[in-house]
Parts: sequence; structure tokens; C-alpha cells
Amino acid sequence: MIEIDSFGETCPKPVIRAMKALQDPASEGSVRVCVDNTVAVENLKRLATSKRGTVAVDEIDGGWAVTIADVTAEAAENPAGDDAALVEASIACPVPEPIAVGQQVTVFVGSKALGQGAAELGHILIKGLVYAMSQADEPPHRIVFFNDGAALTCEGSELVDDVRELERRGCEVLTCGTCLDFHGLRDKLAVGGVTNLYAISEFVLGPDKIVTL
Amino acid sequence: METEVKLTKLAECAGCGAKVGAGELAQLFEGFPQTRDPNLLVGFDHADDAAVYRLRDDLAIVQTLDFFPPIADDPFTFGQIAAANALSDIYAMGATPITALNIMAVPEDMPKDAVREILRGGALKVAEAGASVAGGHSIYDDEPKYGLSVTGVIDPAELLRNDTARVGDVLLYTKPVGIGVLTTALKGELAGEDERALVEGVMVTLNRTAAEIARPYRVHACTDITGFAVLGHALELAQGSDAAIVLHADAFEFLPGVLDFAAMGILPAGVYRNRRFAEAEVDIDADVPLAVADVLFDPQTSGGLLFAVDAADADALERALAAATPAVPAVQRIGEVRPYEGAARVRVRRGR
Repeated sequence: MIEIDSFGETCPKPVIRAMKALQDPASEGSVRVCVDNTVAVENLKRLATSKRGTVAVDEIDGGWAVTIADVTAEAAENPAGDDAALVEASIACPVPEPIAVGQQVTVFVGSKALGQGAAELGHILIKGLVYAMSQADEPPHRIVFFNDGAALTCEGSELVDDVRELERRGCEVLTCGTCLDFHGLRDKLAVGGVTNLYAISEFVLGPDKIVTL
Repeated sequence: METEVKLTKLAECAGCGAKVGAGELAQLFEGFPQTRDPNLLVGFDHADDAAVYRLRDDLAIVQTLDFFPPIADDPFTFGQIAAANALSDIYAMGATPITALNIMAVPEDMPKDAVREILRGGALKVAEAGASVAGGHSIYDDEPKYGLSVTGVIDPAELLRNDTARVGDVLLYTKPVGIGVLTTALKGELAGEDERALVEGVMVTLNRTAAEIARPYRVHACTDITGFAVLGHALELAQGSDAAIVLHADAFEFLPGVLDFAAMGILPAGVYRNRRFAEAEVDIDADVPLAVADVLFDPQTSGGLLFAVDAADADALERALAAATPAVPAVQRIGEVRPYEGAARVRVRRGR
């Protein structure tokens, strides 16, 4: 259980802090958020429902304590609980070809969405997959974000924390500099380093197995 | 443009979400002396979009004032949104804007460039509307605010009111829904640049094209959907017209991600204010998802026009509006006007 003091905070803040806390393993699927307005109470109730957790509201001095509990780690990570099954499916999705033992993998991410179809679903899927890779026994050797995928390592991306986790576990995180410049994101990069097409050509022609998402 | 000032961080409530609730307003004005000037065609005894005063038999002026705290981080964009929103009330009355006055509050330490950009955004939209900025007034305040008072002209015979819908009318709406939820998600950094560009593009779009296209058709009533949300404005239309309204939950076009954000509880305070005000008169079928209902109570800063059009003209108007995309961002046939038979004024049911 993580305790959050959200007194004095309005609209999205209490919900966002609760969401982030639920993603922290230390929460063990439950948070207690103290708020001083009914809007926050109602918004937190909706968050609990979408994460398929339980919710209890207690009156406290000057406001309410909203306790959300029994949220699974998967549900905590997903932007919307209803799509939990789909994200689970993407996590379970096997890499197409068996990889030779000991061979290292470089993953290229060229889009904000995984696969063709609804962009919103595609984004949910890529988020799920990057999270799964960050938790994998053997994370990729290197991950390169390019084209529209460059935005995923920048401020405002929901994937930043999971990519940081990849980096922490030894994965080399790189984003295409030309792509950052094109989208005006050069000073918004939030995780990893910047690379260029010379380096990328070495990766492509080098010994790593290349997987393009 | 790039700027160091992140305007929405300076605002507690964004855009039309900052509007005082409709119920509270009615209480505030209760018992005030009412003017009896017969030339005041629409005044404050009506919950309409603007005041209308008749100067001659064939000429009336339409006056409106709208301002709010930043709903966009970029000052130029915020200026454009505030102006498009203020001009919208003129279009909702069927009138043509002629002049506008700026109203502005800025923190003393706000960079002059940012202040200039807000005003430039406003001026750009007023010019696009074919009107002139004729002056204004500014004060210092901790929280920035900007808007305009706009004057328009109309022949009183052409006036589009919000209390004259007729039973059998079809309801057409012109912008995608969920502006308040999506801007709240952006404020929480949950949505990305694509969504930002999309929602800001919708908010800066003038309702001019939609209003002009509608002119030759038999539109019986019109309002713009702003702070009181789809359901609040639909309720005013139903009450004023002494009719009932049925809305089709599946006929709405929502901005991307909005239903997911709503389900997660990323809802601006205005949703609950609007729900409290309208709830008693609104009947939402049990099979309509809560997220959809919440978004129908979501304040729409610089929302679109809601037309109550004669059923015989509905198909033709719908086609004409759809042909004007993106100047008319999203045409939706959201419901119809029915006879009032007691109970709830507005009903939301599944289906189209």
C-alpha cells in the first residue's frame, strides 16, 4: 500500500499520481489517496473500476481517503483496463523465429503503434510489448527508436519509464537524431542517447539479430 | 511556435471548464429587476448564447463576452481558441460578427512576447471571421485569462434562437466530442503530440463555415455546445422549446482516446458540475456506458454548433456540412426533438 497526500490537487493530478503509484511494485496493488474534493473522489472511483480493483471511500478530516486495492500488475500498467486481455495477448506473442543461443537482438521501433489497424490499439500494444521486454529474462541488447517511434522516448510518452527500465537492465537505448529534429523533439528526449544513420547502418550490417516492430 | 511558458500550468481550471455552473448562474440572477425594453429581443431572462437588441425592424446587434484561463500551453494557440470560442456565440445566433474587444488578465512577470502571441492569436481569428479588433482592456492578475467581447449584426427575422426547436426536428452537431477530457489528459501528460494537434485544431476552427452553410436550410433553433456540455446545452434547447430530446449514444464521434481516459477517471471538474445541474432532467439508459455518459457531460471549450433542423431538410444539410470537412470538423446526426410527455427532458439511448 502506498499513501498519497493529494490535498490541494485538482482534476487529473490525484488520478495520475494514483496510477503511477499502482505501477510501483511497492504498492502491491493498492493505494490510499487523500483528497479534498469530490471530483477527485469520483475520478479515483472510475480509475479503480477501469483497473478492476476494489475501492473504498472514508471521510477524514478535511476530505476523503480513497483506497484502491487488489489491482493486478498487468491492469496497473494498462492505459485502459478493458484492453487488458489484448495487451496480455501481445505480451504472450512469440518472436517469429527462434533465435540462436547467445545471439544478441537489436530492436527497431519505427512507429507509435504496433501493427496495422486502429492507432489507439496499436499504441496500447506497443506500450504492452515494451513493458514486457523490460521485464524479460533477457532484455534486448539494443533498442533504436526511429521515424514516428522517436516520440516514444520523449517527454510526454507513456513509455518513458519502461524504456528507462530497459536501459537500467543493460539495454542500449538510442533514438534517431534526424527524426527528433524533424519532429522538433531534440530537446524533449527523456531517455537514452541519440544516434545517426552511420551508426544504424553498422547495427543493421553487424552481428546482432535485427527485429523491426 | 516554441515557448518557455507552459500556460496551462498557470491555470487551475482549463477553458470552458472554468465556467460557473448553469444552476448556480440562475440562482445568482434571481430576483434582479428585468428591463421591459421591447427592443431587447434576447436578454438575460433567456439562457441563450448572446444578447440581441433591435435597432431597426431589419437590424439588430448581437453582443457576447467570453473569456477563460489557458486551455493550451502555447500562447498563440490559446489566443486563437479563446477568440474562436467568443465568436462562436455570434454564429450560434445566426449573426455576422463586425467588431471585437479584447479582455485580458496577465501576470506581471509573464514575458511580453507571450502576451503578444496571445493577442496575435486572437487577432488572427477575428480577421478570419471578417471582423475587426476595435480595442480592449487588460489588467494584472496571477492567473492569465483572455477572451473577447464580440458584436455582430443580424436581421431579426433571421435570428437563430435556442428555444425554438420544433417537434420532429433532427439534431446535427459539427465538432467531435471530448475536448475537456482530452485537454485534461494532455495537462496530465497522458496524451501525445498527435492528440494535442488534433484537439487544438478542432478548438481553433471557427463555426463560421457551419453557420453559413446552414443559412438556406430550415434550421428552427441553434446553439453552440460549450461549457455546459452536450447534455447541458441539449437540456436548455429542450426546456426553452418545451419539447423533449432523444440523443443516440452511438451517433457521437469522440476524439481519440477520450472514452479510455474517461473510464480511467481523467475527467475535469466541469463534468460533475454539469452532471449535477442536468441530472434530474436527463435520463440515461442503463446500457449506455458510464464513460460515454461522462463525456456527454464534458465541457467543450470552443465546441461546435448544434442545429435543430426540419426533418425534411436534415439529409441535405447533413450532406452539405459533411462536404465542408475539415472547416466543419465532424458532422454527426445525434438525435431528434420529440413531444414532451413529462419526466425527463433529455433521454440518451444506445444506437444511432
